[in-house]
Amino acid sequence: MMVEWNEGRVLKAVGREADRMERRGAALVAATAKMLVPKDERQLVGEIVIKKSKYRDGGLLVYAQPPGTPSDEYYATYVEFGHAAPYQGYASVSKKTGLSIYRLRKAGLINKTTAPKPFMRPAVKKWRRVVTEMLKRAIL
Amino acid sequence: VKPLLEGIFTYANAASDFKTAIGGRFYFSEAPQGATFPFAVYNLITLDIDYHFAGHQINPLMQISIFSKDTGSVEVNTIWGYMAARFDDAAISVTGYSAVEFRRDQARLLREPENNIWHYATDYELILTA
Repeated sequence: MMVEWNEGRVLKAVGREADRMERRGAALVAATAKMLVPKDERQLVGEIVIKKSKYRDGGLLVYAQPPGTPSDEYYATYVEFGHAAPYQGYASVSKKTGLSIYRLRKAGLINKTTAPKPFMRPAVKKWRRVVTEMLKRAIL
Repeated sequence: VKPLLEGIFTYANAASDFKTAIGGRFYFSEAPQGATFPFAVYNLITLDIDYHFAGHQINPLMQISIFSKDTGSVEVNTIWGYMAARFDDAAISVTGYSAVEFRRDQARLLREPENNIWHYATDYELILTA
């Protein structure tokens, strides 16, 4: 009996499968993050994207407002982590002006601390174990 | 969740360099209007529950934020050091849970340029075993 081990071809096939699982994992995280974006900050949904890392073998990154996004560069960070400036009666002001609380704060129109409304971290936490398992299965 | 939030609050308010550095201003969710800087705020980010035949485990992700209005970053970094010394692997007692693990996860120093405010946001992953 002869066993032939075609290392190059096997590694390529494993790599392709791992890439496929990685894309699937990133898509799951991005879709969940989009679902978790607070109702009054829905414009962020269109700014959650999957990008390839600039580093070799860096994999895929799920970004909220990646560099180069035309809107407020701090907006997603303020929503995810909260911020120091307060909010009070923002709902009515927001309704009147059509501006989100974060934009109102930036304009100095409201004045009180704001709690985080996380959407990225819960999405990562929800899928972390599953995606790790998917990758393991892809390469084993 | 209430015993957990109370346990953290009690732990943060016991005498320590951290408490002194923030002047005892440790709040849940949001700081009150006009709060004096520096202060700290803690929030619950996620809460997962794992049930097993002998009981259950809860696995919350908490965020502790330090806010400083100092011109430079020395104050916020100093307070962060005190906070890490106080909370990393902290032995916090939570009613109803026999074991509590408190592990630091990610930390990031943010700047709110419009108001010249430093915001050091640190995540802690907890495991509470009933």
